[in-house]
Amino acid sequence: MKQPKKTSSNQIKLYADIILLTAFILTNVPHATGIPLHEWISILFIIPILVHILLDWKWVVNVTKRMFKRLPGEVRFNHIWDLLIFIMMVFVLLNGFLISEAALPALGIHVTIDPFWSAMHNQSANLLMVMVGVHLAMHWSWIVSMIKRYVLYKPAQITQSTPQRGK
Amino acid sequence: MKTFIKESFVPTLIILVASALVILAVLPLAQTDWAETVRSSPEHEQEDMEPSSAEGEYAELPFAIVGFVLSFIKVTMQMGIGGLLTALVLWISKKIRHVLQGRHV
Repeated sequence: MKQPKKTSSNQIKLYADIILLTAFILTNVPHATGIPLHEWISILFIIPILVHILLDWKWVVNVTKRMFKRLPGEVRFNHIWDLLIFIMMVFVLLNGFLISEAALPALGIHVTIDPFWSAMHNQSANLLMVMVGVHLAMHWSWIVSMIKRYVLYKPAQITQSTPQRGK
Repeated sequence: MKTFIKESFVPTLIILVASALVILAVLPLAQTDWAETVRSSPEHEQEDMEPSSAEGEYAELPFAIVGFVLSFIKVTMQMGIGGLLTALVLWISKKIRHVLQGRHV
């Protein structure tokens, strides 16, 4: 019996995360993209970041509520690390706006380039890449199992009971 | 989709407020003595490695291709360092846990 193919929440998260990672890499290669494209991609990057947080909002709320109660160490670390990544990302975006050479001037907003914010942007962006590497490693088993399930092994179009793989 | 947008309104506001708080906390950094030190440091001139939009593209194609490729290698290495160190720490903690569980048995 044919059943309509339903997109699971994990599948949506996986595709959103793939877009997010691609956008993140593109924002961190200004030598390849050039400054104007780098700035516009960075502005648009806010959307996939927001979607990424919103898709896991229930987890954020639940873990925050239990932060001072009994919680596995890995979960606690992930929560704190995610918060630090969020702060760093806001910081990088902020000083990126403050040293904008293309995007903001195109919108009629002219800023004076402060060498302090320029230095902060470079250093914090480099640190953010390492932090994101840690974040990816902490969620590596989820990433691998989702890629195996939804990318490498296409789920059956016609199914009565979908075989459970992985998580 | 409509449910997602509806349920996301309050969380989005919370995220925006949190971002605003971070921005307000960070903006005064530019007025500190440390910021003055960074501005007057000769190193900050070398740190500004991104090509300026006024300078335009690279003059020669081979160097442009090398620069293009090196950018992605740099990103991969920086994320890879964080990832590998984390994987190492997780592996060590797993081994320690196995050893401790073996001793209890």
